[in-house]
Amino acid sequence: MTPEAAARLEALRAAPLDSWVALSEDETRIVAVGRTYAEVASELDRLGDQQSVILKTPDAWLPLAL
Amino acid sequence: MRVPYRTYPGPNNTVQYYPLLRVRVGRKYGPTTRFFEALVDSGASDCMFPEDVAQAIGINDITTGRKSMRAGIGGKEDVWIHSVVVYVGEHALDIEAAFTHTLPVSGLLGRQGFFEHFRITFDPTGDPPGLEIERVHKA
Repeated sequence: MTPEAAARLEALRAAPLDSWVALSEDETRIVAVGRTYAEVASELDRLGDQQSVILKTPDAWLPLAL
Repeated sequence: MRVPYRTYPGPNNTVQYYPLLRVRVGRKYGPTTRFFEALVDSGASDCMFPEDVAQAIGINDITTGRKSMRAGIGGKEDVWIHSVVVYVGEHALDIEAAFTHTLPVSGLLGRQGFFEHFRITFDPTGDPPGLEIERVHKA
């Protein structure tokens, strides 16, 4: 695993569950957290950040079967 | 382009790898989301997004769309179809996407609307594992 992939993993493990988070452009750290997409986008606006990537965290870190 | 699978926490400190793509969604002549991650899911019949994504592009009430249903491991689910544009890299796809109140990920890229536009090869044997996607233009 690359150091970036490992850092992403650790960042997500530390993220709140059932939330929306923004990862930095290199996906190694969390730059914003919110209960909704809108909260995270608003925080990125405040930071002047256009490159971070947003994702929704599940309510438990379980293998996905959708 | 080749995109490495992304790491995702699993139970008991295990690691999961998923084919996740960085996309944006918008409406024609309307607002567009920021980059967010969507799961490339060959088992999904079409593309699906949570209502948070709808609200970000000005669809404040997803139930104004065409109602339909989808079946998954969690059972049957009401969805509502809206016309959107999905941006994948330099590609803009005009598609019909399903929106739902409950989705455990920020987006699904399914067969209709996504796979029909790309030749996709999943390669979990690579180091790192990844997927290859190539745009296909058909008349």
